[in-house]
Amino acid sequence: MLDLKLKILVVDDFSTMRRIVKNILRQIGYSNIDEAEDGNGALSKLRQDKYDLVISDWNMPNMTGLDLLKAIRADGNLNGIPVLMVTAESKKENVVEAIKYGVNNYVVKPFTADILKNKIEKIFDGKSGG
Amino acid sequence: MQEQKDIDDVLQLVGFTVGEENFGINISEVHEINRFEQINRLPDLPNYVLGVIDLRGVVIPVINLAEKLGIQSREVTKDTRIIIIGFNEEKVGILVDSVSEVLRVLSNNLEKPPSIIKNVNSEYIRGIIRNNNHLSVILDIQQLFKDYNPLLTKENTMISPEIKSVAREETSDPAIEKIVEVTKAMADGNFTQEIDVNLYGQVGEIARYINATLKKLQSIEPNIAQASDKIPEASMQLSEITKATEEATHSIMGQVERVLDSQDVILHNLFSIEKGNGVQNSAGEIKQIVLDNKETLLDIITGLSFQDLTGQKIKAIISLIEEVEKRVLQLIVTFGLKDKAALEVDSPLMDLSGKSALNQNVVDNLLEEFGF
Repeated sequence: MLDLKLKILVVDDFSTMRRIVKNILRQIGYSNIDEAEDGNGALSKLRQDKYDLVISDWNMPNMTGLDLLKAIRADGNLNGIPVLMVTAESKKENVVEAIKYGVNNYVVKPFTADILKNKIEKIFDGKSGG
Repeated sequence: MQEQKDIDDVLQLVGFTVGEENFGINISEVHEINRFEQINRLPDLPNYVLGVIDLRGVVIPVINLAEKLGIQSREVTKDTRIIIIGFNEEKVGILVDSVSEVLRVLSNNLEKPPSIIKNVNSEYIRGIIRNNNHLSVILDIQQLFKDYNPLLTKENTMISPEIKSVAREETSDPAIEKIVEVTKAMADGNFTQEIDVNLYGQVGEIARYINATLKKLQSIEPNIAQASDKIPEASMQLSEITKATEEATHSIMGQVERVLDSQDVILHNLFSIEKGNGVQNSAGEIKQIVLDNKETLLDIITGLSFQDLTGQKIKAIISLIEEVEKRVLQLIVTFGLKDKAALEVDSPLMDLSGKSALNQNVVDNLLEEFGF
């Protein structure tokens, strides 16, 4: 079962993309959604507040999604937060790199609401199951 | 000032061989080192003068160093060199069997020549250095040729008239000065001048190459300037397109969100109708929502016309890029740059064609492999 009270941080440099992801999340049933424009903005939010899931783009100015992932995994207070990559970076080496640095799942743009929902379910099923 | 002294004490020597012997001369005396070329033999010369060569139009005598030193020289091979040295404000070539290296030695390491050196008259010798496994004899060129009388002057009738004329024209300073002037202007970005002198030999060749390069630069420069002038405009247009599409997307998304929210109201009313509560009210509300939504959906369709506007702008930018590409290609062709690999630049653009991009299924399979 999905915990609809999850607090989710959506990270993308395109405001339209953030809005699309937020809309889909709202349709799934999540209402506790925050957003950040890049890795730097996301990190400072993550350090101020408690979040249950990060949904991040890869290709962003200042700090990329991959660098954000690395920073989260390297931070003792944050390294338990699941990270879902939602990105157009869909080459094999990108996916493998993200896996190497501990991504929890990977969605390729453009995506459907179903795919996003499935991936979020999978992340939290895996957590409760294992 | 110890350091300064050390620097002064370093001798730079050009090492060479004649026969089985190793020699060195001070690098400051060497003008250049050339491969062996045809030596024109002239009559009535001392036996250690082999003849003359035409060095870019200047006639230079060539000395047989082996003969002068009284040692056995080898035959001419691919290693044979003519070292051009300065002597009494003239240039003299010396024939050696090979040039080995440039040596850097401390003058302290220069040993006095032993009183008896086989085959070599010690008055020419500045000293001896040990280098790896062999000894090199450092020659004093000025001493070596102190008895040498330049037999060859410009007035010498033994030199053919053609050689004389070449020598005079090629060494004329105005030509060199013009070349310097034009190449300097090129370095400053001025490609309008040309070298209008008629020259022979290698200096003439240089002048012709410079003129050919100038012609190419002249033809390409306005093209490049024209093309690059348009680039800032193109990038401005692209920024505007990004802004316009962002606005349009937000506007459409706002409308869709309204329709989506209204679905919940419709659902709520349908539940009421299902239960038979306030059927007429609910039906009226649903009717109004559907009418509103129809209008909103039509607005969305008209809103999508941004694709047409941005599409046209993008097409204009594409033709500009093609224009720039054409001019750059012309540059490549004009300058004959053949190494395509060297011209390939890593593009920061992601692959938008999607051909090499993985789709979600492939990514999922990949994730599965890693135990996701």
